[in-house]
Amino acid sequence: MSSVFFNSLGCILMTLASYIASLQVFRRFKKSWLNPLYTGTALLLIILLFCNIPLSAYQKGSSLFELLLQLSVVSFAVPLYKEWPLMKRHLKKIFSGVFAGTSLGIFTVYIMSQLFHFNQEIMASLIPRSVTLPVALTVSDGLGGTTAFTVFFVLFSGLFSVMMGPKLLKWLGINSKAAKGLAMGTSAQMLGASRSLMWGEEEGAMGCIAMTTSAIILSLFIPILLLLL
Amino acid sequence: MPWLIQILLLAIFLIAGNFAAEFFHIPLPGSVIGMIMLLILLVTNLIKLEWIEKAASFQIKHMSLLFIPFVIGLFLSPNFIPLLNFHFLLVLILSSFCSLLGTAYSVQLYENIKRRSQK
Repeated sequence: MSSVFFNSLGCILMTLASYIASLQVFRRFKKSWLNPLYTGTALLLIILLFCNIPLSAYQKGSSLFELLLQLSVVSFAVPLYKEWPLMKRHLKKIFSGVFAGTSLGIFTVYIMSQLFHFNQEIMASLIPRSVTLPVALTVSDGLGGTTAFTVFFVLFSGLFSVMMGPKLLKWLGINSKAAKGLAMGTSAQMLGASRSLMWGEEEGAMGCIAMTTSAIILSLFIPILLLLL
Repeated sequence: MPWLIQILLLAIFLIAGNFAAEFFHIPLPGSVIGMIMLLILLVTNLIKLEWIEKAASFQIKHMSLLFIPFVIGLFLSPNFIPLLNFHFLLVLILSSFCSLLGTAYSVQLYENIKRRSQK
């Protein structure tokens, strides 16, 4: 019993230490590629490999973070509430934009999965690729996907959209603040919302709104998708 | 409100959301239902923003910490190398473009139509 306790405590402390160290580096140098998500992960990976800690031991100890991630989805009620007047004013615009992006994404995944003959497990893990991780994991689980696949698909889509999205939007001449924020939030969830905050307050608010509403819209698709898969 | 109570309050919404999802067979993740319930109570002023604001904002600000264990799990999992498959990456890239442009163009179209009708 006590060894389990110390094991989890050790995992949590190691993760926290790597995060805090990389956050300090980020605050010091303020470069976007020094995002604590990348540097913190790299640091922790080095520690784990160096101390020869197997993945199974680490994962057993880190289940607290899974719970906290779910809790942070609940926390998104706060930014949504703060942007409530903006949301009410632009309800139709937000809904049509986010709905179009989310459903087009699902449609593309579905068509291409048929084309490449992916099995159901892979398709179920691909479908929630555009929404924030805690919601994506729940959706993929409900559809019969796997955690490792879903995490990879979500992170790859998010990173790709956040790297290419702003350039693409500029190149295509999309200057509307709402269009930029909503597009980034819909396609790159949390990463996109924080990227759109760099453009300005309205873009950031729209990114945050898009990230949450796209998670809700995608969850609403589950019953339809269960019939299709 | 002290920190612990703020976090407990958020946890109550998570538990209630999970319970509602199970009990009423709602096909939404429990955390999303909890968030919607909290939002409704905030909008109707039954819950004051100050009661949860500190804990919620702190959690969102440091959300990338919570992603780290998942990324570690991904890198160290034996499934990682087969995931770097050309077909997967192609689907991810194309569908990301579709989401991005689908949203951007429909919002712009909506704004253009609105502007024209106002003239």
